[in-house]
Amino acid sequence: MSSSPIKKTGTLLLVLWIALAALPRPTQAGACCGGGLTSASLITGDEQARFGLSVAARTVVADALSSGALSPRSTGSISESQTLAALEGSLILADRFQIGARLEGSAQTLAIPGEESSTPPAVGLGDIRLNSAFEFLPEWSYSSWKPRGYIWAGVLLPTGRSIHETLDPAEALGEGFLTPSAGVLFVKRWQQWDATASVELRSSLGRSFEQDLGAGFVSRSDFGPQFGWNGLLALGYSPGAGKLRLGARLEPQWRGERTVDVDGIGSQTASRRITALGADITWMLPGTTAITAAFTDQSAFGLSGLSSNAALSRTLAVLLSHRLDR
Amino acid sequence: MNRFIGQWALGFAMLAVFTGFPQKSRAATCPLPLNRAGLCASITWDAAPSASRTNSFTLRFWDPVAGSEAGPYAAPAQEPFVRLWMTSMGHGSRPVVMSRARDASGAILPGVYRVEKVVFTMRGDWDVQVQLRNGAQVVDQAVLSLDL
Repeated sequence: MSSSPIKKTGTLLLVLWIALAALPRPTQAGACCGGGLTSASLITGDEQARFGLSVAARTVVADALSSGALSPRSTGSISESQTLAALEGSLILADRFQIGARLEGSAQTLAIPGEESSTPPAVGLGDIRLNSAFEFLPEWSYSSWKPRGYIWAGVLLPTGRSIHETLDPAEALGEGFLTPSAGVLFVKRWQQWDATASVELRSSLGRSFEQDLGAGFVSRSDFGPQFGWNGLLALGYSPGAGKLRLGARLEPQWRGERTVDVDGIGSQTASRRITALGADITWMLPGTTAITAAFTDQSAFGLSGLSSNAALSRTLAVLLSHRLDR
Repeated sequence: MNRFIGQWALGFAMLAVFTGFPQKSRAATCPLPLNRAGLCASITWDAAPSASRTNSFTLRFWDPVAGSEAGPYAAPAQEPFVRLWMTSMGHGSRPVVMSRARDASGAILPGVYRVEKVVFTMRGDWDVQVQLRNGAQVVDQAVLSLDL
């Protein structure tokens, strides 16, 4: 590999990151409760680098109770919505080794019936995700069944304000915990079809927070570590192997219990489960740019029993991605 | 005859002791016990609590020796504080707005507080934690658990 594409790529990355820093400060939705970045930014094709810029609108549509029953957020009840902007990039450093990063920001509002709607949205930077990956199962020659395989390790940096750092849940824009993770991803492409399967194990580390409650009251909370996993099963179809791709996704995630001590009073959170369904449509623009519209429904179109202990959202996202060929 | 009635009365009294009647009675007369502070507290909602709107309630404190839920009320020696907490999720909600209650003439009612802007941000199990604090230190706490 020559060094000039890397130089060009590095310059482009720098420009994009500066551009992002100049954007209004945005983040992650329902940050406390399962918005979550579900997978690493990986290059799974033959390109040298890939960059993506996305905007998304997310609305909480239901609460999943501990029994698994869904309680829809009907008109007239408390509403939570979020507008997100994200920038992600991945770069091949060596033939089979790559790095990636994702920055996210959002503007979030919480509207309560009967209260003035003049509260401005909470705007800020969300958590940052960094990852590196290795293609452990390359596709040197065509096989009708053998997939490409990647393992990755990553970390979620708690740069977004968490729900434990603010008195208003509407201002929570990140998970709040340093979270190392590792995963494996398999991808297989046939002429018109493609399939992806991935699982990520993550361990959110413990952390202490201090909150000024006002009137001279200070609260200290200590949170223990929390284990969890994210999964992904995706299927895509490109009619005539052309410029159009239609995709469908199943994205389950689980978070374990976490010990909590607030002002000396101990308790334990319940485990949380979310099963999201998604569909997306991608159109290849001239050159090596693609535009994708993706819809994700954590309420799984109202199916009960698939999620528990979580606020569930629907997200509509538009992603513009550009790749640089090797 | 009197001896017969006395034996039955003694029997009922023993039955009440063994079945825990006194505890139930105490729970009814002291809904939120603050034992270290030697106080009881109660919460009276303005309307049944809901996760669909802003709620409000009246919080009353009294000395169980000198008063009852109907009064007279007693102001705690420490600062009262109310926190909403969702144990299953491990987070709270917006801070409530708490003020001293006043009578029709505008005079402060000792031991009685109005708690407003009580927002449960989602459905599920919530705790209303009634605390007596000295700054960072929680001196005593009683919890009302809700399933919304």
